[in-house]
Amino acid sequence: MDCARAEEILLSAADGLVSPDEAAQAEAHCASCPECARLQHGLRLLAEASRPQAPEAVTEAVLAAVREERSRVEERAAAAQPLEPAGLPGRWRWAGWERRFAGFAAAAAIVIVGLVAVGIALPRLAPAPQEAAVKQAPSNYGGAVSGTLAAPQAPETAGEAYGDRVAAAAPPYVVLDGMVYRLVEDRSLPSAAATAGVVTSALDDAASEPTTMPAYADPIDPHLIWVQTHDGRTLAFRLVTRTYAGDEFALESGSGVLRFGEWPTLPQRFAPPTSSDGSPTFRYFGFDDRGVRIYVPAGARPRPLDGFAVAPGTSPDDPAAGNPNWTWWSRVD
Amino acid sequence: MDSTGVTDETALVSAAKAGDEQAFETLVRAHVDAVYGHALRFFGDPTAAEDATQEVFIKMFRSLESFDGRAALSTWLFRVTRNVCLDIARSRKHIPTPVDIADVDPPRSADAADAVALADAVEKAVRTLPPEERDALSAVAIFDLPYDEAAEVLGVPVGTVKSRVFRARKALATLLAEPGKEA
Repeated sequence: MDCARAEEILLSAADGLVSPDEAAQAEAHCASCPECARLQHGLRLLAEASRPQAPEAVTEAVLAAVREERSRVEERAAAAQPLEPAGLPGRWRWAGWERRFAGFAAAAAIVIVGLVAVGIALPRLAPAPQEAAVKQAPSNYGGAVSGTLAAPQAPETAGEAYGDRVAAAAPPYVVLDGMVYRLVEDRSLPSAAATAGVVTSALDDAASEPTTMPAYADPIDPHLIWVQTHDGRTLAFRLVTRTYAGDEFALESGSGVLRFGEWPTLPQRFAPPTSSDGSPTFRYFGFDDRGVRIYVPAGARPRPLDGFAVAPGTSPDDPAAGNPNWTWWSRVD
Repeated sequence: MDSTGVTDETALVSAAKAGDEQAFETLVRAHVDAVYGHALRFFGDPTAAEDATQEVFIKMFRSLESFDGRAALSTWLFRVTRNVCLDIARSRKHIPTPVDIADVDPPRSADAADAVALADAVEKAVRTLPPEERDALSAVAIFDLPYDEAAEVLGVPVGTVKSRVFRARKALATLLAEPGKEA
């Protein structure tokens, strides 16, 4: 046995991947080779050394910090304002916007299906994926309209989602400073809410022009904003996020989402990918905490991770589920 | 971890997700050594390692709901720990302390029998490794990740992880058994 083979066996032994025969041969080699014997001795010392251990005080400090965090979360939950359904017209609740949206959805379905049919019949005229970025699509949200359209494809690899496609309606989103928020519920505006900017949206009104409304930051929950409608109602919206390695990343949109049902688009600083693997704009990076594939700008330093892209077509319980566009998620500081 | 261990951990994760404080604390105790160990090897400073460890488990508490169990918890925690350490260093809250190979004293024969002296020598030697080798070694030898899962987290092929781990082991063994310092 030569030194290279003996070294390989000695180094593999720590993983338990060496047969007794191989171990015996390496042992015999070490008996006549001082250099390999030294390596063997060093590896034995390494194997004998105890692993680093957290001092008990560190463990206790960690547990105390977690308990404190748990209390904070519970306090936050307790401090949240109760729902006020009685004081708000029903149309501002989920079912309300779905009902109103259903008529628009049915009409849009006909238009979109027609457009897709034309795209299939005239493939040369079908838009490239980036041109086909879908902002608005028919709704079958919550079953209000069902059976009209094929469900959006949801391959984890996103490959099949390319080309002509029909998308479900987006959830009720608004955009504030480029970040996407989703309607949570109707609540009264907290007294300590600070001005956060303006939101431009027609909300669930498919027929009207979008209007600009003031938005307020929640005093307790940094992911919550409040939008005050022109007739004095307040609607709560929550930042749309996903996590990678425990860090939060929020959905960004390159365009305004001007009414419920429209999809966020990829920020304009990124050219829409022309391929299902994200190229040439992105390259595959890994999985987020939900097991969804994430992509980073091609050629960029992968770490630290300031943001990542997600391909169209994620599972139904995903925050980007049904989005026919590539989405970009920026790190939440 | 054997299949019983996996089942136990899955049950603990489910219980912790449901708000069982005891289950969460059991998970912390099961993984705190690995998290702290990686952070200590990253920074070479116990205070920084403690800060990083706290941050990792706070993140685990906040994000456990999104942990779907497709990967082992240790794989997920290795990814979080690695990123937390990098983020802390990036924010310059703590800076990794450089160690020179010349600072590593191989254990003398008498010290080699002394577990504390040996562990100290190993820890110091580990800190002389290039970061990519230290990360690979941490994944395999501290978090006990299989090579394929380590490769997934590190974003490199399995063969690359293996060669990094082997290079790391060889470098450490060479440092620990420096000629002239043996019995």
